[in-house]
Amino acid sequence: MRSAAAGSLAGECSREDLLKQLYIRLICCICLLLCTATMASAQHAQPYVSLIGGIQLTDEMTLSDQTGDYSLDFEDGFFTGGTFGFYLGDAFPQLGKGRIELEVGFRYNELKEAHFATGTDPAYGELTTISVMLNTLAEYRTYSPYYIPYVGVGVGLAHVAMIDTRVGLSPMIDDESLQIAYQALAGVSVPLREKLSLDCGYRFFSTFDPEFTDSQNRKVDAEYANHTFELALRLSF
Amino acid sequence: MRWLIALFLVISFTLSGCGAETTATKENDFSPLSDIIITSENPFIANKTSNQFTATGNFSGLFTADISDQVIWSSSDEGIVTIDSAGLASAVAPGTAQISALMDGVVGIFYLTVTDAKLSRIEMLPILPTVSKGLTQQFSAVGIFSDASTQVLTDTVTWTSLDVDVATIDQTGLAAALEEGVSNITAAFDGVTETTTMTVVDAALISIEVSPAAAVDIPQRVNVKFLATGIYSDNSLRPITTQVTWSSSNPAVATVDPLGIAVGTAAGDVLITASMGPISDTATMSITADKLVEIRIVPATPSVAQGATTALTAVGILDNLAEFDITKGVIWETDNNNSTVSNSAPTEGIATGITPGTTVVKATSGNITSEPVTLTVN
Repeated sequence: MRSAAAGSLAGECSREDLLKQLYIRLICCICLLLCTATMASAQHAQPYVSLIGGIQLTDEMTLSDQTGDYSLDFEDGFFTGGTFGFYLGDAFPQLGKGRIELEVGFRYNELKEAHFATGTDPAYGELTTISVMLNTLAEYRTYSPYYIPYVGVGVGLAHVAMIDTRVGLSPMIDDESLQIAYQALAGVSVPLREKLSLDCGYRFFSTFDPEFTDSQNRKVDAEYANHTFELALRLSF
Repeated sequence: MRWLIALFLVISFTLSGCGAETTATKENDFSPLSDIIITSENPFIANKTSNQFTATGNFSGLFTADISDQVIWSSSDEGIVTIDSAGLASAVAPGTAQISALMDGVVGIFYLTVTDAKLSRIEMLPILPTVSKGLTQQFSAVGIFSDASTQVLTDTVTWTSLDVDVATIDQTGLAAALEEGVSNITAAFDGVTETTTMTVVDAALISIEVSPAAAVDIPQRVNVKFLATGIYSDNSLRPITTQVTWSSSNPAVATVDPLGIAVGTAAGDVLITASMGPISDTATMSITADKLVEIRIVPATPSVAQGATTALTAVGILDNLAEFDITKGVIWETDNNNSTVSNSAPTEGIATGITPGTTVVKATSGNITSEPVTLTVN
């Protein structure tokens, strides 16, 4: 149950929240269709694994409690993760070549400063996210043999944790939240060897608003989103 | 593939827009109050006077805030000084008392000494002010005491105005100028008074408003009559068209005469400004490439009964043969006093018969003058 103040903030962004939900449902439908099709064309599937690393830029996080809104700025952080997936072969000629994969990721940012109505104060602590995502990606293999553009979307779950966050010396939030997560990604794959390729890409990652309890036992709604510029080594077998 | 790219872009841009910066409305209440600093205009005050205290909170060294209206004020000895919930202390008797401000378990302390000094005289500022009608004047009073100390008494003295039709004054020393004239302003405290004279003069010009604010699609050689209205400190509006200085931002495109009549000589946009001292207002005027080539007065043989009026119309003919009414923009001229034709808004072009006979009437715009018509007064 959200607080009245949080409801007010949500009201400011309600149209976007509605769009988020619509997009998530759309992405879920696409993933479901592709999973079903993948199983139907299992004879074409070729498995692969990948390791991902990248720089992560987290958006200014707006937090709302019953006393008002404030926001947090984060230092640039990192993203690391891995995937296990399948090439879809020619199962979807209308989409081009594609992949479907299960991804586990870890994101880390340090808190930089907090913006209140009374001013901006130095802030400390960590923001971490562990996510498990189901991604589906479309590859455009006919463009060039040297690089393969791809786009994709994914849904899953994210465990968002604000660890020992403080403003000055005063504790702020030390709590965690499990939320539905979604992402959109794009980039190019560069084949290095017959079964090894390097992905260079960007992804937008966000979750439904995580809810925390602050040091004064108040419910706080947060808006969480970030951008990652990443490299991934992908090995098929 | 294409629709997936489009879907990706829509999702990314739409969702990233949701993270736009939000203006903070919440105060930092995570950082506890760590100190309260009490400040005062005076470390000691004379008996029977008052003193305003301010409490400033230091929140964990991160920020400070005025918390005067949040603390609980108290005096250690109300026989010496009392203090109200807004931090205004009143001296009751000579001595020293501890003023405290309490909030969230944190206390700020200030030691206030009440002296037995007697008020010797009051100094008022400003001396002999002259104020325009409709404006206000803030007076201040400083007390000079028997021990040579001084203390601001603006909020302590009793302020009076001798002629309340000319000026009134409230108990903060703010005087309002109501009518032209002179009034004595007096500050009194503890049997001591000081008086100065406040002179209220005519209202001052506050701003100018030029109308029309924009004259658009005006052919070359067609007059536009701009008017200037003064807005004065007593909220009155006065016509000041002939008192202001008129200027054009580009005389090569349009000129404006001292009566505010502007005429375009080339296609383009100009700013027409009316100014009086440092105060000014500006209107825009856009001139087209079309040119006025002829003015025709309608009717061609007008007549009017003595003492009656009739409307004359000036029709402008452009080089593209288009015609339009320029009655309000032209300058109407007559060759005698048998009749008059108005140049004043809103009756431009209205002819009045004065004496039986005939009058030759012409209309001019820019450098174009109409063929004269003969107006007969019956």
